[in-house]
Amino acid sequence: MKKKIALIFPPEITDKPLITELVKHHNIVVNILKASISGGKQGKMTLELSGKDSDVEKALEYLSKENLEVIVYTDSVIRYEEQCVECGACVGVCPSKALTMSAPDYLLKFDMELCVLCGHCVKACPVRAITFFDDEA
Amino acid sequence: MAKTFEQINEKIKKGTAVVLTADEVARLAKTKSIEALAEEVDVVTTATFGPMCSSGAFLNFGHSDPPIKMAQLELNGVPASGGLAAVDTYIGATEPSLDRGIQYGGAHVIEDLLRGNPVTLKARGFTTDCYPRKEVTAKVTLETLNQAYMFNPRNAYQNYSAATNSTDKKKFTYMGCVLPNFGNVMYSTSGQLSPLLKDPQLRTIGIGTRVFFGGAIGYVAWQGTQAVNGYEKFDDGAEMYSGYTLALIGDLKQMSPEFIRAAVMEAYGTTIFIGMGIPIPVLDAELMAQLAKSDEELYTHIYDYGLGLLKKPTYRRVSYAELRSGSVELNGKMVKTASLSSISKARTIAERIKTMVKSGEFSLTQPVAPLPKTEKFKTMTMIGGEGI
Repeated sequence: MKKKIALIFPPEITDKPLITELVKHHNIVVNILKASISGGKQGKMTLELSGKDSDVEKALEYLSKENLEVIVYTDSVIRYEEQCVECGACVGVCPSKALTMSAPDYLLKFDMELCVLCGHCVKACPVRAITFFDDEA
Repeated sequence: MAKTFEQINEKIKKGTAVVLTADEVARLAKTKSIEALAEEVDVVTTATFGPMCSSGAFLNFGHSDPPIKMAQLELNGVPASGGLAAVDTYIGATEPSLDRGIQYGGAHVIEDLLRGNPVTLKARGFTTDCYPRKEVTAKVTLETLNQAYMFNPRNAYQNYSAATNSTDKKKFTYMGCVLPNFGNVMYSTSGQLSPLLKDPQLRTIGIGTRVFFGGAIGYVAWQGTQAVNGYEKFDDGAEMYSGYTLALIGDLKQMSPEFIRAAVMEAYGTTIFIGMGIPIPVLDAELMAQLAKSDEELYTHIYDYGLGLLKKPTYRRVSYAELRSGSVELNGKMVKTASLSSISKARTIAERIKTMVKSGEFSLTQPVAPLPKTEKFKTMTMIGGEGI
């Protein structure tokens, strides 16, 4: 199972080695997609967790007991199809091939599995047809 | 055998004209001879849907009572021209608003009007004996305007450069975000559907040519700004036409937001997507040879947009088939490509024109006058310093 999540740390626990806990005690492969943490300030880290279903679930349970906010992404970007004009401005900036357009129909396709939650597409979209999950929350 | 406009229009009237999209003709040309296709096909439809900055609309508001001669005016906070008669204006697509900058500009005012949304007009005037009013505020909609027509000085670029970036910084351009260290190649021409690539010598397209423009019927008004008759022939026999543009005119009141859309290019500016297309009569085999050209036989050059120079270094010639494939080879590496013009929208327009021509709703027009030829693109003569 793979899950993309964001952790929002209150200033008090930025010194806690949470990732080590996930790796060492929950058998999780952690891929850090984005992180902004500095001691004494609120921090945010976006991760992809992969591992056995039961391990991922236990890891999420562990995190939920810690004093931090956990966002589990079911979808990372939201596209308003009626707004989209099927240009490729977002495809041009997508670093992970999550957004693609190809033959035969050249319609925009989004693959959540490949998304690294960078949000570049949101800014690049000329007709504001894409919203980042966070912006909605 | 050569055909004339009259013969083709006669067939359209009778409902017997064979009309195909440029995509369909390019596909058929792989198995049929150009001569046979020229014989069988009467009209080939072309289209494009891309950001076209040099666009805008003339509007007439009707007079207030007592009347005003508007000198400074804003529509939803976007300045529009006060340089015309009392209640006429031109709103340019790229004009940023005073309050929201490029996030809401002239293009958005045009789209709001198209959607039937009310737009706030604020104007200040010179007071004269016949126009005593100083200021006016009014709500206007597309319906309340006497006239609203787009007049776009430069649309339908024949063939545009593809953009890459050799520097180590992201570049925010009218070609979208061009990533550092040759991180992507952005392009914006509809290739085998591009109107001016299918009749590159402008044999059938001239002043007065009826076109599909933003969902309505429009016309070629003039040569587009910065138009040049660019032509290159390469050692391998490949040909490349580039640089011609069209000035288009059309009734905004008949247009649709499906084909006219406001756009914001990140850290660059406001612009507008324009959907347009031209049905081209198949006069003879020579013209069919161009009409049938596929993405494999149509080319552009990849330029370096990283340096901020007018004369951009060029890297290589590239076919539209390569660009369409999703990646091209550049300096020995495969680089991702992305199109700013919408292929699927262009196809929708080409199909739409096909239906309109077949049903007799859209007859073809012989140009009233040929478009001028321009061999050279002039640059500015500056006075003083050469720095930024």
